[in-house]
Amino acid sequence: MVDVTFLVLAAVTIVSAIVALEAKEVVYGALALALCFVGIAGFFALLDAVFLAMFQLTVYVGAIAVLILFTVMLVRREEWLKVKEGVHKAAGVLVAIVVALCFGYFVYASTMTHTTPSVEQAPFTLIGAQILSDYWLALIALALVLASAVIGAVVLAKLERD
Amino acid sequence: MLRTFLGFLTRIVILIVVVLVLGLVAISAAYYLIGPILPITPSMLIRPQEALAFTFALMNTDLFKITIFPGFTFVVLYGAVAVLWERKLLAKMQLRIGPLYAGRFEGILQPIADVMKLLSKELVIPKVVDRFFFILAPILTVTIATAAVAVIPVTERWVIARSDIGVLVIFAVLAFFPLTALMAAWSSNSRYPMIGGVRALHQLVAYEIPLVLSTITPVVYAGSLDLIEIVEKQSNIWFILLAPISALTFYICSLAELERIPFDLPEAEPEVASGWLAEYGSMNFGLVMGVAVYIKLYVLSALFTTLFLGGWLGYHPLPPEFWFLLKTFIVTTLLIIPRGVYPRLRIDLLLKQSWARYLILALINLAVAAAAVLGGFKP
Amino acid sequence: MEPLVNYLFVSAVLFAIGVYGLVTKKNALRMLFAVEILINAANLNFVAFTRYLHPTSVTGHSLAMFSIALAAAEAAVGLAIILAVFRLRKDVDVSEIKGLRG
Repeated sequence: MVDVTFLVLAAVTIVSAIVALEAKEVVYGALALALCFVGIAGFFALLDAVFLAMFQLTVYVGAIAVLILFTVMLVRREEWLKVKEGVHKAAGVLVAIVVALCFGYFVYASTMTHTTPSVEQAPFTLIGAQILSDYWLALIALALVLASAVIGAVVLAKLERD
Repeated sequence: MLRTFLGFLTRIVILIVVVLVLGLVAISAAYYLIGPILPITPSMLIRPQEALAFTFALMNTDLFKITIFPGFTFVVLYGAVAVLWERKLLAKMQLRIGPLYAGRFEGILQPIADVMKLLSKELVIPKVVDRFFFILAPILTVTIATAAVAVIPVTERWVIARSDIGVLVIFAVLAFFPLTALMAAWSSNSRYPMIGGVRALHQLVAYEIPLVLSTITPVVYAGSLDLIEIVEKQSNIWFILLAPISALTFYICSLAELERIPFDLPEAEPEVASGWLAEYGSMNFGLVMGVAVYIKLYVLSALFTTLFLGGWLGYHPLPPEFWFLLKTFIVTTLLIIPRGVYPRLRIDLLLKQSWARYLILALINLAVAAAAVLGGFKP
Repeated sequence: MEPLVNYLFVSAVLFAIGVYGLVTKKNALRMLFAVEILINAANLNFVAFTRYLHPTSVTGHSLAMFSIALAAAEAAVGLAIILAVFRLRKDVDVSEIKGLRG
């Protein structure tokens, strides 16, 4: 049957995703989002993709969560109280439940009933070989996108000093 | 002058020699006096593996490795020795004596006295503080610092978790520290910790990048992310001779990651009123400043030894564990020395140096290493 | 090991939570959280499929790596925009930012 690690990880990830959106203080939401990222890294490790799990921890938790927390804390606290929460919350919850149930039905009624994969996962050294040979264009485009994103973010967030 | 640094070293060496001689006397006394009564044969002293197979089997289990030898107890003891060594070394550099009174010989029991003092103080938790994160942040810092110990190999067989991607695990663990510093600063709900916390965050994030880049150079030379393979590839020549600029950058960035002088501004006592730990009381403070910082010191020293100084490789009669400990101890001493020598850097100079200087230095050596390896160089 | 469908269901639930957050919330930072949850759900899907259907190739892993890096870039730019708008208007309610509405 289902094993405990998977259940615990799933519970942690889903609950922290909900807390990230619903917590009253945005700082708690950002910290819960970091916990959600750690849960997803745990899923990657469970799926024999340990390289990707460490990559996710370094980039998502080490960079994105820190960036989000930084921004949340740079904004003054009193201002947050003025933002009203969504008015049509019940409709949103209903949409979410319908979407989840539909996806669940499609997934469970499909023919993808694989349980144990028969072969070992290929080693992570192939990732580098593949990125540099098959997807070299995407790599160069990614580098350009990252560079322009950094420049754009710096320009946007600069204080106007007159 | 009886109390000079050389005098101190002489006294420590005499202490170690006396302890070894007394141990030898005790073993031979046990053999000759108790031997005829219990069935201890001479071959058991020559080849104790035969009689002590149980002990060796115990030392190979995971529990021993996690809790005692390359794991928690060893690291915390190393931290305690590092606390005392730091205070004595700085005292000798500043022409003082250092701790002298705890323990009859040279203040050897000073770390124990420090811990007892911290435990006996009242744990003050201010009322306006966010209780959950205030108490969680130091615990999380110690947990994450200890998690990095799992992949550091003392020898090939003394490693807790041998993995193909040891270097990446260290990066992932290093990436967590800004988060816990920010958590501690924000939950304190006060102005000075916030300023200190934001500065600590800037510094930790900015110096992570040259640290990571200078770590990639030995990886490129060894062709693997596994720390044990990196050490094994250094049997001909140590990587510090092949990548000296990377070693220097790693050393400077570890000073910054450990928040040591000259990168001390987030915890500067006279400037930001003790920075992001201002509201922390007795054992909360002790957990971060006493335990977590010294565990990080061990991790970064051991990483420097593994990546650049050839890990446990050394001349044969002395065991490899001794060589590893000797090299790690020398690196720890080198990391402690700037505290007595340099002044503190201002935050904008600190950040500008990281982005403008160390990043470029790390990239230079990485480019040289990549060119060499692509040209067919095998260390 | 788990059946593949369990991983897909977890990914579907996360996707639904992300959609709920994006549709319902008016705080710009919460919407950014929801976008990050969506991207993570998709990455989980990629890696699960690679493990079960094509274990000898790492295409899903490379794609997930590209996705993670792009998500970092997008989060940086999004947060810079939120900061700039907040400095101008002292408010992050997205329904109040309607200067360009025709």
